[in-house]
Parts: sequence; structure tokens; C-alpha cells
Amino acid sequence: MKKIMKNIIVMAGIFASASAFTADYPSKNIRLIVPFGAGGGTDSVGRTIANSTKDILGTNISVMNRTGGAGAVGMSFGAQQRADGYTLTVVTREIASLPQMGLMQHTADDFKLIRMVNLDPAVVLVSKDSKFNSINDLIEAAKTNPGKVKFASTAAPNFYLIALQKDQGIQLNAIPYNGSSEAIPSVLGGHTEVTMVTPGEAISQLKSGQLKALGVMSKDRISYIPDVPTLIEQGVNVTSGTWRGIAAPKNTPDEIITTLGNAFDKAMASDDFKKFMAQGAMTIHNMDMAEFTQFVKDDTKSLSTLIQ
Amino acid sequence: MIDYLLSGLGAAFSLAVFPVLIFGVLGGIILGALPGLTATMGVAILLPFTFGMEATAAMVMLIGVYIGGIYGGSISAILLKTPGTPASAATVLDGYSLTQQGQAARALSISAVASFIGGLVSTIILIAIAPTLAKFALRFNAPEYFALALFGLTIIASISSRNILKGLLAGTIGLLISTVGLDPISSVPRFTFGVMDLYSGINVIPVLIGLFAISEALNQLEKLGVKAQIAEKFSNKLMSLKDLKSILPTSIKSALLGTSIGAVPGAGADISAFVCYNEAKRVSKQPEEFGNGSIKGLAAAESGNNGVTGGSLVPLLTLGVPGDAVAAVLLGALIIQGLTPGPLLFSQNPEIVYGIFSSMLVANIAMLVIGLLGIRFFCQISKVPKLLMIPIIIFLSIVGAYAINNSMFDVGIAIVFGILGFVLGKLEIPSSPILLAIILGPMAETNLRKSLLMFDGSWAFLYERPIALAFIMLAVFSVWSTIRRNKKTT
Amino acid sequence: MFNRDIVFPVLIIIFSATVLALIPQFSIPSYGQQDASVGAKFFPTVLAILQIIICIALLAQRKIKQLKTTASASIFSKMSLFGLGFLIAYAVLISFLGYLIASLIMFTLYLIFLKTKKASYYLFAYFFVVVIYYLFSQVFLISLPEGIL
Repeated sequence: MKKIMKNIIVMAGIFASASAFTADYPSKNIRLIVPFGAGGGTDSVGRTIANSTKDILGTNISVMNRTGGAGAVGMSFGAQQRADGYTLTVVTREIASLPQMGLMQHTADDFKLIRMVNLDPAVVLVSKDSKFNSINDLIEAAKTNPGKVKFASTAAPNFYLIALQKDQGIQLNAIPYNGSSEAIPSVLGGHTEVTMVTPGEAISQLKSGQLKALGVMSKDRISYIPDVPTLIEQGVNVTSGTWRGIAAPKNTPDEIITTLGNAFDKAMASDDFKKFMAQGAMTIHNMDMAEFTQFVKDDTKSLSTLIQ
Repeated sequence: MIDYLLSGLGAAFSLAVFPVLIFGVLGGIILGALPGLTATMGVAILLPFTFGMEATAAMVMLIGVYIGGIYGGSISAILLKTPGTPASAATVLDGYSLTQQGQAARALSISAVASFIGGLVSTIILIAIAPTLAKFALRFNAPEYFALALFGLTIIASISSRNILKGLLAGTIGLLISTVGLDPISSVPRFTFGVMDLYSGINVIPVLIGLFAISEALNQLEKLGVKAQIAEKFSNKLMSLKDLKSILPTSIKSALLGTSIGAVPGAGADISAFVCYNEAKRVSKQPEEFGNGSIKGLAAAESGNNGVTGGSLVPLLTLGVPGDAVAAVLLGALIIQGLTPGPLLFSQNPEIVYGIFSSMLVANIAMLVIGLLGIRFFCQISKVPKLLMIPIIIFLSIVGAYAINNSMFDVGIAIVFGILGFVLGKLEIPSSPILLAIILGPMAETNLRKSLLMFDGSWAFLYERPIALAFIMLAVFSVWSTIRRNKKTT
Repeated sequence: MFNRDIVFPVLIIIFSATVLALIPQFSIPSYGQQDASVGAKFFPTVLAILQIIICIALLAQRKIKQLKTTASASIFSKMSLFGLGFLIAYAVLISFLGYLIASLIMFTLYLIFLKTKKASYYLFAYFFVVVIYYLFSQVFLISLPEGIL
């Protein structure tokens, strides 16, 4: 009896997946893998885009957090899922850096990079009473006292800092903290002198004036902090930041990718999503698949010079 | 300020907010009681639902889940010896002993009252001196965290009173386990054997589920085999006024300790519960009662973990930095509402700040009422035949271990630790030091190495920083008093 | 003689020695994050040595105090082995069939194995499994193991 029951259920399962052909996609719930913990920045972007896209696609999108190895576990898991468009993954800059560090087997090539969603530059921050008033003050101090300026690093290794160090030939004393929520108090408490985080991570300290921004590491100024000059304006030709996007396993049919891509375009243009991102001081940066793929290729190359 | 508080209280009882608050507290209690599901998870899951809500209602619901979640874990800890969250691991020590003595109802009522005292006192402190407390919290950095962790580790000696050596062995096993994964300072893979799931280390929740819930299920199953089942004692008696008098000082002290620990980013309810338990035992005139159903020990752990709730909002509201994972989600919720957590919130949106304060007061009252009213119902759980309870605990353990990270790997970890906990139990080696060591090990190691980086390899931070020095002296004192106590008893 | 108070510390000593042997093999990554004077190898080394010392002390304590091992049954009884098998079977089954089916099957098998005849027990079991399913998937929206079939 039980065996028959089991067989029926198994058969039903097979039919269900067989009927999920590309024509009537999506015909069931979509799963979005977030490779970082619930409550973090990547998680909330993932949950919000899922929320904004579900009505457009007419199907529920459930978020599944799969953490570990600085994103490696979740992204590798996502790459290995069935390429039927029902499992998508939020990919972050770690997909470009971790494989080069030998900490992840899968790379961006194992995915179809459907859309980039956001791109945030890093901001160089010091406490409001700091003696540093521009990026050049900081570079000057690091040159006179190599390895003495205490830097609160949000990750180890910290690519924002390495980019600046390589370009300027300087060395800071990088102390690794567990993310911005530890690095920022460390600067506020005067234990370390400088940190680099994305605007969204420090927006409340910037607004209240507890922290002072020495410069933003992007080509152009950021609308949320229009008074903060870029490093380039100050004569330091360095940009760095982080990005997030949505990807599907590489064998996913093109029709499905097109359907999803159009849905994400609409979602990113929706008022809800725009409002959410603006309030978190995060920059929406919609790139289509060709652009995004090229971007990741370039970023992988630029990271490789930092890692070696 | 009083005006804002009163209007906040009015809002908390309004038709738009009150049901949300009750829903939050109740949901939090259920989530907390189930092994593997934590307050953090509950809050994160509910976050998207707050997008469409008005700011006060959104915060009230999330805070309700938080407060309920920390309390809920102790219900299963007391009744089934399976703490729902790491914060309730210290509750098992005395809470379950009371249940075995047939005093489950008394233990549950003490737990509800002590949790309420913890939550209430910490909310009052939050309202009264949040900015001062924030300044204190900002003085914490790597050296202080290292010293705090070191002090926390000395508790191992105190919670393994029967045979200190065996407790210490459990401690080193736990500490060694905590070194698995990518080293947090230099990213060196340690004992990972190329398994990617191990890179971020062994998650504490599946360990908790294994050591407590699964190993307890195996124990119970073994007892089922023994035919002659002794009818279990059970009394419906709640706590007495005398009990209240006896736990009140301990509860208030633990609430104060818990609030301070909560205010320090990175130290949470789990550490607080153990520290408060240790402190209650240290000052007690009958330390031998601890671990055998001491109501003071139970109250200290319970008040200590709920005391964190108010404290962890201190850095969030005053500095805009989350003190723990739950506060991180609350930060996100505030930002989504277009609010800027931090010093500006007090001047720009006082109604939100005081709305949060007053809803915390109401949420704590709701927790107490639900907790007390629920006792009769909770006690039914302990009347479920063991035969049925065992597979239920096993199912919930496996599902809980899976849910924390959607990973069968964590299920495997829980099973391995279940077997380990079962075997260690047979050898009379206590399991709670393993858990404590896994929580505190990374904190001790990372912060020691961070401190050495900060001070160019000099160890002077150990005596040059007053807070660090104070904790190190506390650690020495704690070890010394345990040794003295042991000499007395043997 | 197989005495658990001797065997276990000896096992832990062997385990610690293995750990000590593994530590020199940590591969230090090439991308340079600076490290403190106390490096990645320091803590595990100290802990493994400490563990060996504690185990030796445990053995010595037993010798000095002449602690008698309380006459006790073997560590794994028939029932606990059954529990172990049940656990592992459930974990395997759940990863294939998903929560709902695996739980229903395993609960039934469990009750049959324990020779329960009370129909109310079976009803309670199924009721519980379904309630948890509903609570997780509908109320809390937490994903349960779905199985790969």
C-alpha cells in the first residue's frame, strides 16, 4: 500500500516537472538563493527584488538563504541547480574574487548573468574629529608612517583598500572586522582611524555627522552624498566598490532568461524598488546580460592584479 | 519625554497596533520554542511584510517577535531539555531539573516572571540612559572583547562542578571545534579538508540541536526500553510569593548585567545567560543547589537573556549600528521606513523612538501574560507520552537544523553532535561547556589576534585598558572562587 | 581491559595528536592579509596540547583516587542504536522525499517497531506532522526540505 502511494507521488512529481516546459514558464514557484544571511544588505536587496518581481511574473518567489564561505557555499549551490529557471541566485562580487583565491570551485562562467541590480562604490570614512580632511592627508600620513595608520577592514582581504594601496604604494595597518557593523563602531570609538564601506552601510552616521567622508571611490559623485568628492577629483585615480546581480545556471534556456530579464527590468523600474533602494542609499545599476557578463569579466581581471 | 512615552503607550494599545504586537509576541514565542528557529530568523522573515506597514506598527511587530523569541526558547528548555535557541542553553541547567522534580509549572512561571523582569528593567534603562550606555559600549574593542570572552570561558569551570577536569575537557573539545573553518584574520583554511560547507566554521545552532535535543531524544528512547516505567510526578503549583522574593534580587542584577552585555555590539543573549548564571552561583550561599533545580539559577539565566533585548537597541538607536543580528534587521526595517537610526532619530522622529520604547514595555507585559496563561497549555506538552514525544523531538530537530541554513550539511552536523552528546553523557562529561566554548572560542581568538595587530605585537593592552583589565581580574577571581568552593565541598 | 574511563581519554589523546599532525599542513594563502604575531596555527596547537594534558590528568586522577567505574551498561543499548538508525534513516529519507512524506513514513514505521496498537497514537502522529508542515510552509514561510524527487 505504502509503496503504491510512494510510486504515485513520485510519478506525480515527474509529471509536474515535465510539464514545466518553457512555453508556460513560470508555472510554479521560483526559488531565489541568497548566499548571505537573513537581514544583511544582499538579503534585503534579494528579498525586495523578489517582492517586486513576483507580481510581474505572476508567481511566488521565495528567498532561500544559503550562507557560508563568504558567499561561496550559496553561489556554488545555485550553480549546480537544475537549469529550468526555477532556481535563481543572487551573485555578488565574491563570484569574481573567491575562485581566484582558491576558495570556490564555481565561477561566473557557470552562470548566465541575467541582470546586474546594483553597484555601490566604497566611501573612505574617518571619525568627525579626525585630523584627516582629504584623501591626500591620509595618503601623506601613510607615506610618512608606513603600516601605522589603523584601518578597520570589513573583510579579509579588503579589495577597496588593496586597490588604493597598490595605486599609491602605501601600506596601512589593516585590522579585519566582521563587516561594517563592527568596523564603524571601531572608528566611532577611536580605536581605528579609517574605514571603507558602501554609502548605504554608513548613511546614518554620515547624515548625523558622526563620520566624515574623505572621498568616494567611483567615477562620478553619488546622489545620496553629493558633497563628497570622488578620489579622482582629488587626483587619486582609484575606483572600487561592490555589486550584486541575479543569475541562473548556465544551461537555462534563452527564452526563460529573456522572460526573467524583462521581468527584472520592470521590477527595477518599479516605484517600490526604487524607493527601497533610495532609502537604503543603494544605487540601482541595471545592466543587461551582455553588459553584465563583460563587466564581470573585466572586474575579474582587475581583481586578479590585486590578488597576486 | 513623558508625553511621547504616554502617546506611544496609547498607540501601542490602539486597534491598529495592539493585534500586531500580540501576533508578534506569540509568533516569537512559538518560533523560539522550536529548536533551530531563532528570533533573528523570525524577524528577518517578517521584514518584507513590514514594507507596507506604518512605521510604528512595523517596529512593534518585529520587537514583539524579538522579545517573544528569546523567551520562547526556555519553554522547551524547561520541559524537554531541548533549548530552542542558544540563549536558553543555560536555562536547561536548572529548569529541566525542576521539571524532573515534578515542578514544571513552577519553573515555567519563574521563567516567565524572570524574563519579564529582565525585559522590563532593560527597557527602563534603555529609556533612561541609552546615550551614556552607548558611550560605554563604544569603548569596547578587540582587547575588551578578548577579555570578556576569556572571562566567559572561566564559566566552564563553574558549570561543570561534578568533575572540573571533565568540564575542561569538554571546553577544549568545543574550542577546537570552533577553530574549524577559514581563520577570520588571515583566511587560512583550518581543518576544512576542502569541504566548502566547513569554510565558515561549524554553525552553533545545529550543534545546540545535536548536543541537547537529539542526544536527549536518544536518552529517552533508551529509557523506553526499560519496561518498568515510573509514573512521573507532576504538580500544577505555580511559583509562590516566597519564590518571587527569593528570585527578585538575582533577577534585577541579571537584568542589569544583561542590558550591559546587550549594549556591547557582538555579545548577545547566549553569553549573557551564562554570565548571569555564573554570577548568581558565585554569590550564592548554596552553590551546590545550582544545576539541581535552583530557582535562582533559573531566574538568573532567564532574566539575563531577556535583559539583552533592551541593551541591544542601545547602539542601534544612539549610533545607528546594530548590536546583534536582530538589531541589524531592525535597522533595515527603520531604513525602509525612510528613517535614519542614530542620534538624529531622537531629534527628528522622537515619536518613533518613544513608540519603540513604549511598545517594548507593552511587549514585555504581553510576554508575561501569554507566558503565565500558557503554562497550563505548555504543561500538556510534558504529559504527551514519551513514546510519541521522542520522534517529535527528532523531527523538529532535523527540520530545525535544516531550516537555519536550508542545508542538509547542517542536519549532518546536528546528528554527529547528537551522537557526541549522547556518548559524552554516558561518560558524565557535560555538554554545555562545548556550546559555551563554540560561542566564545572565535571571539577570544579573533580579538586577541586583532589586538596584537592593533598594538604592533605588544601585549600591554591586557593591563593598559581599564575595561579589559577589569574583565581579566574577574576571570581570575571566577577561577579562584570555583577552586575555593570545590575545596570546601570535597 | 576495556574501561571507558581509560579508553576515552586515550582516544582523545590520539585525536589530539592527529590534530597536532594536521596543523603544520595549513596552507597559507598567497594573497597577503597581514597576520598577528600569534598566527592561525597558534590556537589549535595550544588547545590540542591542553587537551592532551587534561586527558593525562584524568587518567592520573582515576589512578590516585581509585575511582571505581560505576557498574554500567554498555554505551549503546539496543534502543539507542535503534534511535541512531531512525535518525539517519529519517535524514536520508527527508533529503529524497521531502519533509511531509518522509515524516509520515518514519512515524508510522516507528510506531510499528514499538508495537503500538493504539489508533489514537497514529492519529496524533499524523496530525502533528501536518500541523508542523502547515506552520512552517504557510504561517512562517520557512522552507522545509523538499526532497529531490
